Formats: sequence, structure tokens, C-alpha cells
Amino acid sequence: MELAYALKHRHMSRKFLDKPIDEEKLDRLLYAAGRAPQGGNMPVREFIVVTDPKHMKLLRGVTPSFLANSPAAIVICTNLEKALEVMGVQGRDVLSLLDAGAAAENIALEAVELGLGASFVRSATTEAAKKVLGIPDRYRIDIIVGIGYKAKDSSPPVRATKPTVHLNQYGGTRNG
Amino acid sequence: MADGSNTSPTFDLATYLVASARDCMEEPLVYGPLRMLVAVDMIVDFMERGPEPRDEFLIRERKKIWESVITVMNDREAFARALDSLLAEFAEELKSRTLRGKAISSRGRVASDEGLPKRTRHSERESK
Repeated sequence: MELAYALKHRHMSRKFLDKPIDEEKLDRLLYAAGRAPQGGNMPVREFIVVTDPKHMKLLRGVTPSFLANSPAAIVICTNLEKALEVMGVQGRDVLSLLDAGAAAENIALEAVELGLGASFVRSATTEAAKKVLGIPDRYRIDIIVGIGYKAKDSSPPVRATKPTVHLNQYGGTRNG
Repeated sequence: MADGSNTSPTFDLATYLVASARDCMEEPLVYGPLRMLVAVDMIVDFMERGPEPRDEFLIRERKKIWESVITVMNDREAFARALDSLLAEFAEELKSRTLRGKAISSRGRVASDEGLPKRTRHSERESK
């Protein structure tokens, strides 16, 4: 698949079919996530794959912004202790978040390739999510990616957005 | 519960609301109304799956919540108008049920108060 196609067709899905994702596809999503950049090239980013319906119910129950009914989720976490050790405060507080976002986007793009949909979830209730998933204190949940087969009416139309660009310096006009 | 877990609709709703209260502390203002509407959706869902009488008004409104209210959430003014419209329908229904004795039958239809125990209506009390 052309990258341009995946970029064009990637969008946040809200409605999913009640159909499990096979292991091979999950492996490919995780491979894509692992290919995302990581500050210091050290393994401070970890993934929790949630496929069990009861654990999905737990995760959704404490994550109000998780509106999508996806049958699975990939929870992207950072090991804060390790991040501080190998990347310093900036690495722990900033770079690891950027890296988690990059991993989430890779998952979403690979999902297009696999005929799946993705939905990003960020919540202020991650401490509760850590508790229901048994995640140790030294980890931070950075983003949750809901995954599944899209229903037909899975998402409203994507708004066309044009990036704001400045040439050479702030306020510089590009293309005339 | 059917899935073997030991929760209840009331507990699930309470958990959702507590988590929402925490979430709303850091979310955009408009997410507060969204969380409340999702809670309404949960309440109607519990009712539909439970033994209590179906309330057709709530079932109709639930559909509207998703089809015409939440879909315009990103347009603050349209969202406010949609909420106004939704609230107006609830207000009218409340008025109808309270003043005119409209009640919900066990077969899922809105019925008049014929056959119900005799009671004093607000309008009657006011006129005395």
C-alpha cells in the first residue's frame, strides 16, 4: 500500500464490529508501533495489548473518553524510571510523550493497511486505568489506541485541514 | 451479569460518573455536557435491557442524542442549540407527565392516568 493512501484514509473510528482481531494482525500493529522513533533508542516504551472483553470493560469503565466500542486496545506506556535514567528529565517528560504519539500514529497507519480502524484515547483517569490493568506505579499511560474492524458508519467525515506554515521565519509567506 | 462479572448497571454508571468527574477537571468545557449525555445513554440502555417498563420517550430521545446532538459537538453554537432543543422536549414531557398525569404503561406506551390511583394534580391544588 502506498503511504499516501494510508495517510489519506487514516482517521479516528468510533464504531467497530464485534469481531476479534487475529494475532497476526496484532503482531503487525505492534511491529509498526515498535518502528516508531524512540529517544535514546532505549526501550522505555511498552505496550499492553487488551483483547479480553472483561479487561476491555474495565478499561472503558474508568476511561470516560473511550467512547469507541472497539474490541481491543493497545495501551502505550512509558517506564518513567528508565526514561529518566537514559534520557533525563526532558526525555521522561517530553520526548517519551512524542515517541508514544509517533507509535500511536504508526499503529493507525498500519491499521489502514490491515483493513482495521483506530481510535486515540487520552484521559485524565490514567491512574484508575493503571489500577484495573495492574500497571506498576513507575509507568505512565501516554495514550490508548482502540483497535478493531470498522463499522460502516464508524466516523463522521474528516475535516479538511490545511497546515499553517511559515517560510524561514514566523510570518514568512510560502507559495506567494 | 450476563458476562459473568459481578457489577450492576448502577455500579457501572456510578463508576463512569466518578471517572468523568475526574476527567472533566482537565478536559475542555464541552466534554462535561458530553459525559452527561453519555450517562443518559447508559441509563436508557439499562432500562431497555432491564425488567422495568420501557419508556418510549427516553428511547426516542436517546437516538436523538447520538444522531443530532453529539454529532455537532465541535460546533459550540450548534451544540448549544441542539441541547436547547433536547431540553425543550424533556421539559415538555415533564410538564405533560406532571400536570396532565401522563404515565408509562408496562407495555411500553405512554398512557393517561385513567385507571391509576386517584391523586391530586398540581393544577387542582393551585386552584383550591
